[in-house]
Amino acid sequence: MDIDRTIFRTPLNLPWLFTMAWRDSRRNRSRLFLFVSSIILGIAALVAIYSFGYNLRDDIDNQAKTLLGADLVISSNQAVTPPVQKMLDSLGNHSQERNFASMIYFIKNQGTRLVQVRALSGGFPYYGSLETTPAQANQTFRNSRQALVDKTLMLQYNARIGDSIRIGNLSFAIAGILNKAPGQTGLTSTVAPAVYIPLKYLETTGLVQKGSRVNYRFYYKFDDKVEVEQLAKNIEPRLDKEGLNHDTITSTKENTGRSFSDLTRFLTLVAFIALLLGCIGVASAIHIYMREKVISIAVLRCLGIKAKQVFLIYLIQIVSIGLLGSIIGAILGTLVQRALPAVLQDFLPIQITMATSWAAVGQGIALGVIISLLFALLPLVSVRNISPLNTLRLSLEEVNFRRDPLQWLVYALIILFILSFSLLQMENWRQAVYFTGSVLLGFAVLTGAAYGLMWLVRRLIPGSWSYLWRQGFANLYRPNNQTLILLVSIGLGTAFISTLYFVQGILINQVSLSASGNQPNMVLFDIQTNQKEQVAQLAQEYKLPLLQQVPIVTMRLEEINGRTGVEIKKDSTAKIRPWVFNREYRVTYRDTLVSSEKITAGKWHGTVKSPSDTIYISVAENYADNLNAKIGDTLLFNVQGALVPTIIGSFRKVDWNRVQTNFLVVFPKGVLEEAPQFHVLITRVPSNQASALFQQTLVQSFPNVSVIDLALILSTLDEILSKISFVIKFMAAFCISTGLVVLIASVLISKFQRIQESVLLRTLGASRRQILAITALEYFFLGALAAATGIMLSLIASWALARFSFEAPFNPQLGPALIIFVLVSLLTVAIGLLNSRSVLIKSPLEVLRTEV
Amino acid sequence: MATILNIRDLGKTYQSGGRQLTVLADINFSIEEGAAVSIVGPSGSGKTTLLGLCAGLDRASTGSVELNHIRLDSLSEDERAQVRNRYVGFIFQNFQLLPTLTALENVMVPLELRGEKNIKNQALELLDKVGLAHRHHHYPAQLSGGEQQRVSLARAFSNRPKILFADEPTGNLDAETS
Repeated sequence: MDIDRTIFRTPLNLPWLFTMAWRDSRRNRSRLFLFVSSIILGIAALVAIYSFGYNLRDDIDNQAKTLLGADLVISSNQAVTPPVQKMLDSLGNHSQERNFASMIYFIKNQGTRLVQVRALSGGFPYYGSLETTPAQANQTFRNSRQALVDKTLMLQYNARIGDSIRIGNLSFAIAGILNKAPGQTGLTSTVAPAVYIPLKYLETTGLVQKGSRVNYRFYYKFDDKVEVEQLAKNIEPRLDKEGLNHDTITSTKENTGRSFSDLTRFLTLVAFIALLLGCIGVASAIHIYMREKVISIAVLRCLGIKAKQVFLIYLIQIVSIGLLGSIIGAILGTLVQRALPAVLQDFLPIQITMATSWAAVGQGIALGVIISLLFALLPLVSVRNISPLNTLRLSLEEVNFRRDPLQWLVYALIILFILSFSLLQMENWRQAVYFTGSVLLGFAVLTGAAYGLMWLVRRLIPGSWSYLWRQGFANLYRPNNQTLILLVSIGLGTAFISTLYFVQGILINQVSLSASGNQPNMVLFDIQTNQKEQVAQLAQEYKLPLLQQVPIVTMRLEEINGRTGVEIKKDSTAKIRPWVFNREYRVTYRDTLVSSEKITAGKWHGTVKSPSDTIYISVAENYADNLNAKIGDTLLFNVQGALVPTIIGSFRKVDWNRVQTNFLVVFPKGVLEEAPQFHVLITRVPSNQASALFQQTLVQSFPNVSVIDLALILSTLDEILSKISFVIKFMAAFCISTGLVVLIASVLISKFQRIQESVLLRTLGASRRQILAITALEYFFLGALAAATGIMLSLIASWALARFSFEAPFNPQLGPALIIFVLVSLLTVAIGLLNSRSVLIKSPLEVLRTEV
Repeated sequence: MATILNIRDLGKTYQSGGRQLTVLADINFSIEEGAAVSIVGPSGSGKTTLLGLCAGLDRASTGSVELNHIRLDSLSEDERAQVRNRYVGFIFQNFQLLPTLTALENVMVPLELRGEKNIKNQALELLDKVGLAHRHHHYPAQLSGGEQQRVSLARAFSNRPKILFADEPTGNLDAETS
């Protein structure tokens, strides 16, 4: 018989689906909101960083002039020749600066410190200002023998305005405290605190001598009519030829923007992980929610609803609630954004405005909706398979939320989404694949640990254990348990924090270890040839060993295999890095290898006997890679005017991680002895006190000699790391907080089931204390295993970083890890108990009446 | 009288624990329009399975089910849902009201699924017939077992079904309310 097929062609009836979604959510809204609460923090973090990034970009654009302080800056690492000076003068009025590393001596308290001396003439900065205390000091210091001293130095050496410092042979009165200079950040002032003096006194200090490493800078300000970019383009060939660099406001804008986009990219990825963590919470919560909806869906199926319509009803609910969560997250994010400039202040060279960025808000909301939807789809696709038979009883072919083939498609979409998002941030396929792979691996390890735990507990818990222990463990694998979700979220958060500690430890250890035993821990540099013997003698008077005395000659690379830098830069097929022609090389000469290097290819040539002999040099392996060079290739060096042809005789593997000099290029003896040079002396001081005493005498006797000691490196590193780790901790806090929200949500979502169990136990005569013990045990195991797995993950990650990235030994400090372990475990127990308290403290009947 | 339900050689087997479990085999019967039929048997004899197959809730392993002259075994799950919406009413042992919908909305759902408009009065009338018009805005959790079953009855009749299936409709009620 013919079927009336028209009855099957009913429309989807979208308005009714919206009505049903609204009706169905009515008694579940607080729970639905709980689901999305997990993504709020992730979205907040993303929106905050996006907004910060947008504002930063605008601010860099607006404040680029004050970053550079001038319209054009030309710089050189060597003194300019008279013809070049003439060309520079012809460009217009300008200020000049010479900057170099040198020791200063605080006369009052005899403190010494390596600083960046900036000798300045003219009106620089033309945009922005040298911010000083008192404010007028930025002008007054220019006219007399006065200095501006970086505020961290002033604090460190307890110096006051009016005190004297000695730089080289001259003493200067401190005119004021330098709070901020163009382009300067908290970080640069940690690494190289600046001291400004007037240029006219530089020569009298006696610090600039042949071979001294001085950077020459020329600052220009032009009329508005001058096209600076065009001018820069016109003079570029000449500047290149003379080995001069230049910066304009546009190039500074680009460079600063680029370096900060790296920072915001990194922060975005951390926020994205917090969001992913939240999404796992969403997926888990929706999974439980849909399980509870099976009967309602089956009834609707009985009454004639199509599978697609059921799917759409819940899809509408989830998208709406995802949208709401994302909006709340975006609002929170715009508030958090206001805290970011404070968190990142040490890295920022400019003032950040805190405007709401609608683009960031839009991106955050869109991202929140898409990602919560993607993760919710995992359990949601299975609702299409709910049979109406479930109304009569749960069918023999029970609804399986895990085996829908469409779920594989959703998994693929999620991976694709993570990959695309990371690609968008990193703009590098390889890094994006690594990031996605690492995230997936992290999740996989934690998921594996969760399943492993459930499997082990189910099989290994002996029946002879007391009931409380057995029940506590049994809760880990019962139906609708939270083991997986809690292990992943808490584990990942823990992994973040402990990786941070381990990496910090690796970096500090690396420097400390490098100076243990009889390794050098002090480097004296800028020693003039005529001072070499006297400095060595002084060191010996202080009973310091002369571990190495190294001559250094500066030079530039002119040609590789007969081709000049200009030719190679034009050749797009050449695999040679352009920087090899731009930099100044500090080269030594000796007839033997030192302990930090060994020959990996070719033959070591220690001496050149006659001027007509071929000069075989040795280059560091990594430098050879950049040169794309092989043994036997020719390099032509310009040694301060004299062209010296050489042949690569050997490659060296160099251990750069030591407090000593290492070189990209080593010449044999017999070539450079007469070239202008300075010397480095490497020694080992027994204590910080001995170091301070020696430095005081050294700075007074040889003011041009600079000192770097391990204590300075360690304290600088420590300060930098603490600044970086503050930022990372701030971001990790989002991950941890998301983990906690997921934990709270998971506990609350499973409350109904817990209530039924607890009521049953209470009815059977269990005391409150027993139920409390069962609950506490369950959460303790969850927290402890999550923390332990997280710490294990971070150990593996930190080991990999130590081995492959820092090339350092890995001796993790287990103390902080242990503290993290205990804290996370206890926090999990506390939150678990806190959210179950109504079940624990009320009578069974009262609980049933109010909670069910 | 026309036949509303025609069952031929009906059989149902399940895979359970690696074994094939035959629940129904070679069932044949017809039901005329307007007839009232009871299926009785001990628990586990396949009553609910038979009801599910007759109402198109499940697909038979062998044989055929013809409901209002439509062969259900050739239809997809969604097409069978449409058949149920058009021609079938249900009353369940556990009432199976949608807990998030009010009594009135529960009664309206089958009509809304058809895309019918202005159905509120029809639904209210049905609720009135079961004596619950005044409780129309209550949720199932706010109604007693008997009241829930009466709402369920009103819902079963709301789409003016050609056949009504009831699975132990009084199983969860006391003597008075049933």
